[in-house]
Amino acid sequence: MENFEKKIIDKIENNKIKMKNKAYFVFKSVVLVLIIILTFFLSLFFASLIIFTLKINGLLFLPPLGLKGLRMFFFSFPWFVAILILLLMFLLSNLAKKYKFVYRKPLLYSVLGIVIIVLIGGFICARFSFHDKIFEYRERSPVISYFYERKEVKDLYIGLVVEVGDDGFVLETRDGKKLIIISNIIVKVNDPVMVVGERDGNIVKVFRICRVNNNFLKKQECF
Amino acid sequence: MDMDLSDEDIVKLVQSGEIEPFAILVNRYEKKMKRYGRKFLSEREDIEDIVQRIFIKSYENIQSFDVKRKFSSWLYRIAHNEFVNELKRRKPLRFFDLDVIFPHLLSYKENYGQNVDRQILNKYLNRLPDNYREVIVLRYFEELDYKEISDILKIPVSTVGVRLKRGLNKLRDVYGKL
Repeated sequence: MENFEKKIIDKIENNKIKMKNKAYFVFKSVVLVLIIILTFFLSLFFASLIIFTLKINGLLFLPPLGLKGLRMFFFSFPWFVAILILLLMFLLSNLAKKYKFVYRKPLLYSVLGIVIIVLIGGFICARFSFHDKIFEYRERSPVISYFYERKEVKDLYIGLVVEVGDDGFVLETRDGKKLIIISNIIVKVNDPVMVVGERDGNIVKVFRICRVNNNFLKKQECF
Repeated sequence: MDMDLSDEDIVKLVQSGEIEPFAILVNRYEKKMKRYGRKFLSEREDIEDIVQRIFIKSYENIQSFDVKRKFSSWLYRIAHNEFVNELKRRKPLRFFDLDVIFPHLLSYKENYGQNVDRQILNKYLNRLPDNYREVIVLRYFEELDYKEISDILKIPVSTVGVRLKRGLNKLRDVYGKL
């Protein structure tokens, strides 16, 4: 045996180097797979949460309303959650890089694959009612409340018509404020509506009004 | 001990607790590892230490090796990590590599640059950036195929081809001798 080999074999025989147990590697692989699965489902959860919060805050109604709507949408978008999803996806693509089927292809493919799956999965998850259920518990936990609380969007008012007059109507918003809406659009008492306009005191000058459905989640027609 | 056993058969014996067969693996790969190291580092003593560390790591982690795969690729992967860590210690390496992120429009062929003059390559290799140099070393000096190089460096197979082509072109541009 040559000197170099001997040095290494001596270290092994004198227990200076120890072979790690197979169970250690199995455990490591299982933990890696679990982290990948967890990261994936967390990304899905947050993607569907974005869709849910866009709905409950009425932001989904805004983009079709033109530049003003787009600007309001942009400034009220939950960017923090979106960045969280990006970080999770970055982590996911890095964890998955350990596997042959991922690293043998350009990283762009796996990143695009993950983005598409998370987006489609997010839309599918948003259709289930689990976010509604968590939403009901928002007052019990500050963490849930942080992600699920209705955010006030500037110049956007959603609520029920409580009184109709000659020059407009009175809107009771979901948080109980009463606003006078100046408009000649015909509405009835108890109509759920969404109003985009500039507020001066409790008077709102209307830019657009949309009728929405009873749970304020779907736009029906806009004027 | 049957010296004709394949690397993977020897690993099976080591995994079952035998120590002596590991000496055969050390013997088979010691020179290759040192040669590989010399393409990146110039100090002989450092290379000797790092190669020793490579074999120690491979012994410690040998239970993670899947005997259905190629032992040489697995060992070169450990060597790559060790040499890269050593290079990082000496000078910071690039974090983002666009070659790995985006697909390539350039085509590549498995036998690209087959007739290169290895002596000239060897002479001017140290003028190349690390990422091109390593692919050229693995391909022309260690004679590994693209998939093995892809497994060692954990980069796309197409990137191996593109780096090889660009690396050789760079050398050609400068010296016009390859």
